[in-house]
Amino acid sequence: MFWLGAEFGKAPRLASLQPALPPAMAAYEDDEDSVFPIESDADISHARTVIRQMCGLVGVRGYDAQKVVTTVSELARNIARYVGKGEMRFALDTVEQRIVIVAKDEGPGIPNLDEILAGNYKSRTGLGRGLIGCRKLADHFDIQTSARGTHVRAEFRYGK
Amino acid sequence: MSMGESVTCIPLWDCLLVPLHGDVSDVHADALVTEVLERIQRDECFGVLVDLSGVWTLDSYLCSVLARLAQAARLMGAKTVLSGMRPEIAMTLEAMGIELRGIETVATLEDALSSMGITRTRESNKSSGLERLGEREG
Repeated sequence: MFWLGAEFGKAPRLASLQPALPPAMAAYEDDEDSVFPIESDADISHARTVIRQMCGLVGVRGYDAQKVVTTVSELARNIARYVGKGEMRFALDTVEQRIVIVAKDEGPGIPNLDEILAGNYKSRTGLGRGLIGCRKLADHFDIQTSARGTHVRAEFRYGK
Repeated sequence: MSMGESVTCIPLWDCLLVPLHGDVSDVHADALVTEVLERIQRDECFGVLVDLSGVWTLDSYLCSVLARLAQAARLMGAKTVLSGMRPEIAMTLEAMGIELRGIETVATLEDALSSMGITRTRESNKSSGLERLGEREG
């Protein structure tokens, strides 16, 4: 599994790249470089741009790409808006042919998560819609939340 | 990235054409509402045409902003029509269960214009529009 470097979408970092791998594919397993901090509006935009490019890299287009990018957008916004600070990681599993998105924050958690996922919660700002939407879009969706933070993992299959 | 990018509002007779393109950030989306509403008042517009054909992604927030824009514009006497939503975006919104309630949505910009009562009169190369009008009347 390749975790996408934070330099993805920016100029390639020449010195530290493994020559055998193209810049965007360099494996950073558990390297801090593969973490995209999410705080501001610009970070949300950057996360969307990065994942969009990543989809293009493995030939994921149209509806399949749209599902992934929209999920990243929702999860990133939830962090920026409701927690203020967190991080995202994007991985490409070329063996299983799946795109893995992880969103993590150390915020106060989502106390009414069950209510939200059951669709009973109506928010004017759209938190509920976004989370349910992500769960519907992803092939695999897992969310863990507690008073110490929230951890979301969404997986999308690509190819056949 | 849309940071610092200004909102494009093109006056089109008594309507406003608002094309969205690329990555629409939340800041940009919020600025859009303010700008369009101010322009409705200033330019005395009765219609807002939001064209989405160049937009990369439409998520729950952007949808709620568009709904808010349409609602506020309606209070000011202007009708909002969305056009050019790409199939993959429509499919994504449908899958997420996001409805753009209260906003008219049409396929193309032409449809949006005709929804505002703006239609094109075809002119032949040989005769001018005036002459053709005369022909029709006569």
